This record gives sequence, structure tokens and C-alpha cells, in this order.
Amino acid sequence: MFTLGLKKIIYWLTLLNVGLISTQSVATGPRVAPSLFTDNTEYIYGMDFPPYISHDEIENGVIADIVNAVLKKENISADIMILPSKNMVKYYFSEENVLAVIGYNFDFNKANKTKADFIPILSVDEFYIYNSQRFPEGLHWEGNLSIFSGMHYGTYKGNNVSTYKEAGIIVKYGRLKSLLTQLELQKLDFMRVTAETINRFNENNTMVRLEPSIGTILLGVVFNNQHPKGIESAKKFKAGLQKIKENGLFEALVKKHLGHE
Amino acid sequence: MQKLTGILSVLAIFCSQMVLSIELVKPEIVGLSTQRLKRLDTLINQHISDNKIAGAVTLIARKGKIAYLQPSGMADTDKPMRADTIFRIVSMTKPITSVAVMLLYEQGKLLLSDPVSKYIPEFKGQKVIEMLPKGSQFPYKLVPVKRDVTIHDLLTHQSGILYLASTGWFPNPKREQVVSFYRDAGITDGFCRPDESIGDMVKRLAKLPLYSQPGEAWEYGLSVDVLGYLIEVISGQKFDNFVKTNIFEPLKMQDSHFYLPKNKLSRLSADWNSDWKGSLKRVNAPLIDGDLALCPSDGEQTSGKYLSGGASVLSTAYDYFRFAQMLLNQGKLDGTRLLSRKTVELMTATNHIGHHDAELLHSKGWKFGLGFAIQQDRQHNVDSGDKGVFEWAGYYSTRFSVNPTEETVTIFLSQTSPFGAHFGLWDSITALSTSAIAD
Repeated sequence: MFTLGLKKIIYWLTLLNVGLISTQSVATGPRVAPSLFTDNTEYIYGMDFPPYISHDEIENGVIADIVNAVLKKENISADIMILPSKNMVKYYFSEENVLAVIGYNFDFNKANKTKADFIPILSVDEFYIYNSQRFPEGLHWEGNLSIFSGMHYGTYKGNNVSTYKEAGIIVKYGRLKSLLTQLELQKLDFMRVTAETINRFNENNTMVRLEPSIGTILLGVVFNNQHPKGIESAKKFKAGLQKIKENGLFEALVKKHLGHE
Repeated sequence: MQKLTGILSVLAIFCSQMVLSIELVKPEIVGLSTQRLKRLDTLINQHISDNKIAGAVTLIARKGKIAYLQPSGMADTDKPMRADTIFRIVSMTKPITSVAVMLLYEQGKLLLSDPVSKYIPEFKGQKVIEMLPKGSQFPYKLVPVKRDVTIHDLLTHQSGILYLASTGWFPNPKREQVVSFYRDAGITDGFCRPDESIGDMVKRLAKLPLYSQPGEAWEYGLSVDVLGYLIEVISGQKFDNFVKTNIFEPLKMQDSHFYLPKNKLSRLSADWNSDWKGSLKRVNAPLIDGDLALCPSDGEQTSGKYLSGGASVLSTAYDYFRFAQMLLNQGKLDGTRLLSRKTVELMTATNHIGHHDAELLHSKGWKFGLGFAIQQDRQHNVDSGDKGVFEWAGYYSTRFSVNPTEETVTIFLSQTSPFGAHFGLWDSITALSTSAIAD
């Protein structure tokens, strides 16, 4: 009887312990730093570029939304991390061989170009804009930068500005929103933005776009063929992108974010 | 001119004390020497007549009573300094923010050991910059943090987060690289108020590399701005509103604001640029020196988005005295208890930075508590009178010092740039304040 009783006690104590350990260990157990656990997530680093890639946009912007849709469709496991510095995005691609990066005009050097597989997602037109209150008579753009000589031009750090400097233009750096504020405050004379940027941020209706368009930029994803899954993921991504274009999802996402096809 | 300034100053003291109705006691009642306190007049007036500073308000209190409150010189080209002149106290905002954090700590809403990422997820998985040897293909690499940045790290400037202006104080390639990321990301020191919310700034900052591993270096920087946003996240209130309802109002700090109300703009001091050799000019435009950007005119904004926990508050000598006296009283003022005695002890009586030194404003022998530098011994260059003295300062030349042993509060408020020229004057003021003790 005694033996059976002891066994029962041990049995119930064991059961009780199983139930208790998980909660008690949280309160009284050793403090386990989360950093001891390895993070296995693959990251795709994106450069902050509103309204296309930005934490301030729904689903982090149209490009992030499309990329996520394709990743999901093709079972590619990766999270998008948007960074506020283009140079950091380039660092991760160049030095840490991350799976992929998203953005535009990466200005990769030769070594990075050889490992980059660029998949364009969206092509958008760019225009010069100015503040109509600063230039009530308007500015006239005929394709020659020299007409802006001596003026203040706003752009992002990491963009190639050599042609502007050669034309005698004073370059000021900043983030898109701060540059637009400076343009509003007439601390900048002109900057280069996409049509969607004007539509989204021209709240006071003071920004005027100069025709014709300066050109087109391609927003897209760059897979890294030095990453163990880079080549395979790029292949799957291309196929997935084609599929969502064919089934209408791509068009729907563009419309959702930008209001047009 | 000096006569006119003198008459205006007398009038100013009379008018401002009528408005403030500040109770001043005879210094001897609280064990201070009137005669010795007059040495402060001589020191400050000499700096004014030498055109080193335009004006100042100096306050000395002991045993909870103000024994010396002296406005000197000019607050603006056409305005004499008054006891109730309002100053941009800049980094003297930091102790206020630290107290706000400790209020939440006392409510059980946070632990100092909590990782910041628990409340602001962008802080998860941060990287630290490591410079690679000269000749490497790439100049640096980013390595994972050994542990997450904690609230304690932020309170004690051990997070690895920098000020951009620090490239001017302690230049080195690693600092320059981190700051270049800050510039890319539109991070500023917040002395010129950006047109964005503090949360927007902090979320971007969190994605950028740290200068050092959390807890492994003392680096004065934007950590307290992060705390301002943390307070918003945890309390669910706008940071300025939290500080107003939980600190300014209970302590009756009626002239302390993040943005001045319109009717107080006339009391704001101008800022002055001094070469410390006799050339003193009113600052009418932003002061830019490398990565340091100061915008004195931002103090005239009556509203705005940016609420910097490290720099945004404007205040008076009397208001800041009330705040400092609360700390000296171990958390209580005029019957209102803000913090417990034990919490104030934790903030002010303990070295929180181990073997590091907090040398930015002081010298070796100064450590850091939760929001203040704390004197550890009396054998180094900067002596504020006792072990355990805690103090901090602000970029437009403001400083406060609390001596718990002697129960004194010393406050000096001026608005003169550049900041670095003032150390001698500040140190002399604390020396004269201490040597006025006569019991």
C-alpha cells in the first residue's frame, strides 16, 4: 500500500510539475537573454522611398506589398526590413550578401553589379518640381541642367549628383519629406520626384512639375547571387511576379496604392 | 549705459518678483553669507562688462529657501534680464525626462532592465559598428548587439546612441561613420526642431548602427530623446502632456513648456554669440558648426510636433529650482510627493556607469546616475563641493547643481554660445556658491 501510495504521489507531483514549470520558470528561473537564440529570418532590405516603400504607407507601400505578395505565392520565406539609409541597404547587399534588396538606382559598383540580379517591378516617371511662390514666373526646363546653375537642388544621400555639381548647382541632402518641407519653405529651389510623389505630398498645391519628364526610374528587387538561396529565389520571384501580373493581383495592388494602373 | 542697465535691472527684479512673488530669505537664516554671495554679483557683472555674456539669472537656495536670485545684464537688446526671464534649458530637459521615466517605473509600468524593444519594436535586432583595419576592402562591418539596449542604458547614456555634434567633440572615423548614417536618415540632434514627431525620428534611429555595444561605453547622445518617445508609448499620452500633468503641474512649474504660449514670448531671452574676448552678438539665424545646429528662434515657436526629451523644454530659474528642490527633498515639494525617497536615491546617489567616467562637462571623478552627473570624489579638476553632488547643463549655457550634503541648489541660466567657453564660469559659480556656506 505504502509503495503504491508513494508512486501515486510521485505521479501526481510529476504531473503538477509539468503544469507548473512553464509558468514558474518564467518568474523564478534563470534570466535567459533573447539574444542567445539565433534569428533565422532572411531579410530583404528596402530603402525608405515614400510613397513606394515606407512604413508610413499601407502595407509599407506598393513595392513592399507586391514583393510580399510574390514571396507568399512562391513560398519564399523572407521579411522586408525598411531602412532609413540607402547606404545601409547597399552595405547589407555588398558586405553581408543578404538575400535581396528593394529600391531603385542602387549605383552599385562593379563587384556588386556582378552579383546583382535586378527584377524590375514598377517603372515611374520623374519630374523636376519647384515652388510656385518662389518662382511666380515659373521655371523652364528644356533638358539642360545649366539653367539651374547657382540654384539649390535637394536630393537623397547616396544619389549620384556629379552632373548637378558640374552644372554649378548647389546640392542639399535630406529625406524626401524634409526636402519637400524645405521646398515649401523656399529653402530649396528644385528637386526631382516622381509623379506619385507630387500627387501624394502636394498638400498646399504649391509644387509645380516641369515638363517634360526627366526620365524613368525602375523600382524593383535585386537578388544576390552570392546568397545561398539567391539564384533560386530570383528564379522563383520572376515566375511569381509573372503569375500575379497574369491573375490581376499586380494591377489590383498598384491601383490600391497609387490609384491608377 | 551701465547706469541705465543698473536701473533697468533694479526695476526688473522689482517687477518680476511682483509677478512671481518669490519668497527670498536673508542668506544668514539658511547658513549662507550675504557678503560672500555678493562675490557672485562681481563675477557675473565682470563677465557682462567684459562682453563675454549679455546677461544671466543666478539662483542659490539652501534648506529649501532661496537666498540669492539675481538677474544680471540684458535678456535682449532692449530688455533687461528679469528673475522670470525664460530660457532654452536644452539638455537640462534630460533630468525632467528621467524623472518622467521614473514615475512610470514607480507605477510598475516598466523596469529599468527592460529592453527598449519591448515597447518600441524597431529596437529589436540592432547592429553595432566595428571599424575594420586600414587597408580593408570595406571600412567597417555591422555586428549584432550582444544584448538589447535597455531603459537603464538610455537613462545613463550607455546605449551606444550618439549626438551628431559629438563628431566635433571627439572626432574619430567610427563616430564619423555612425553620424554619416544619421545624416542619411535625416536624424538631427533636435536643437533645431524638425517638422516631424519624435516617434518618427526614434523609429528611424533604431534602425541605424550603434556606436558601441549597449553598456560598454558612456556616450552622451540622443538616448533621452528615445526615452521621451518611450514615455508616449507606455503612458499613451503625448510626451509634453505627460510631463505637464505629472511634473510641471504638481510642482507648480508654471513657466516650463515645450512650446511657449504666445503671452510668454516677450519673456524669452535672446541667444548671444560670444567669442569670449569681448565680441558679443545677438544670434538672429541658425548657428551651424559642422554637425551642430542650434536654432534659438525655435524657442519662439508656440506650437509644433517635435517633443525632444533631451532638449525641448524652456523654463525659468525659479521653476527649475522647484524641480531641483524636489530631488533634493528626495521626491517631495510643498507636501506633494512626486517620487519616493528610494527612487531618488537610485537616481542620484549611485554610480550607474561602472568604470566609465562622465567627462563631457566635468572631469574624471564624475560618474552618472539616472539623468545627472554625480561627483564621486574631491580630488579631480571639477569640484562642486561634495561627493554626491549631482548636476547637468544645457547647450545655450545653463547649469544646475544640487548638493544633498549641504542642502544647496545652484542654478545659472544664460543664453550664450558657444557652449564650450562656459566651463570656467560655471565652475566658478559652483565654487562661489559652495564657499558662501557659512555655518
